[in-house]
Amino acid sequence: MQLLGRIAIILAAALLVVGIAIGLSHTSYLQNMTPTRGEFAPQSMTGGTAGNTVARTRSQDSGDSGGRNREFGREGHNAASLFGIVQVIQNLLIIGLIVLPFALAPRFMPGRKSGGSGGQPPA
Amino acid sequence: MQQKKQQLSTTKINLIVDSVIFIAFLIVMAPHFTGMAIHEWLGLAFGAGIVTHLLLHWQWLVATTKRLFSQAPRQARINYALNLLLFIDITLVVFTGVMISESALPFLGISFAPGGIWRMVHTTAADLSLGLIGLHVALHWQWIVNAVRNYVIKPVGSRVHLPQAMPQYTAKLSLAAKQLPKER
Repeated sequence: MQLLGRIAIILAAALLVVGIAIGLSHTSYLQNMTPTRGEFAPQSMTGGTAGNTVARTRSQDSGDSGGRNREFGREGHNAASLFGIVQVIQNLLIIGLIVLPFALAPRFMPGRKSGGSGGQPPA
Repeated sequence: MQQKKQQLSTTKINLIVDSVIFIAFLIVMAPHFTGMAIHEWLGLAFGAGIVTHLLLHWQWLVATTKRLFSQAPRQARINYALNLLLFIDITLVVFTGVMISESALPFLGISFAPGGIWRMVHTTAADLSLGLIGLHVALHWQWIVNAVRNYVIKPVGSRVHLPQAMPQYTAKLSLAAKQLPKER
């Protein structure tokens, strides 16, 4: 029961973030930032080009997935490739570069006490 | 003693769960490697992993939230702010991922009108998450090093040296030494 309550709190916090994101997505500033092709049109915008855009994307959705992928710039992503491991290594290197100064810092500051392994780490 | 044992097993559980989440993050951040379908399903699983991570650190979360505006140390406040940013960012990544889903959600019979804005937010938030996860790992580096040393390196090291076989081996060596003819 306690666990369910905690999960509900986490999901409520996530829902708050999602609500703010949806609210912000309807602001005119962000509407202008979005690309015109494949644009999501809110229900209130029924006429003009927005309506055409929705009609166009829906017709593409009913068609082959290749067409939809070309529309949203995801071509080449659908199939898995072993060469994609480069992306994993690249991300690992970026994280490594961020961690490196923190890992080396205690060596140059001998006065600092290192943390223990027991107990719960800070989240 | 019992409490100490329980505490140690908590560290072990944290290490295992965090390692799995980190590996999942690295894989999910490479859609070229996995393909789009696995990317989407793994992304949803990653969201569940984050909820598990938060549940495992619930005590810290509650304690720090309570004393955030009173006597929390500066490092705890920085950590808290970073974690809050990370939570918002990961929530955005998962949510926008759901909104632009092409395999996972349609498979479940759910589909949303695809939007350029969600794709843009998804990409930006995912790029940002790489830096934030890096900082998150960096801030807990000492804990990671100690936990890996205690629960990975030490047990593996003790197995490699075969401590059970050692007494037998040393006994044979001493016997062989006794049988050697004495010099001079």
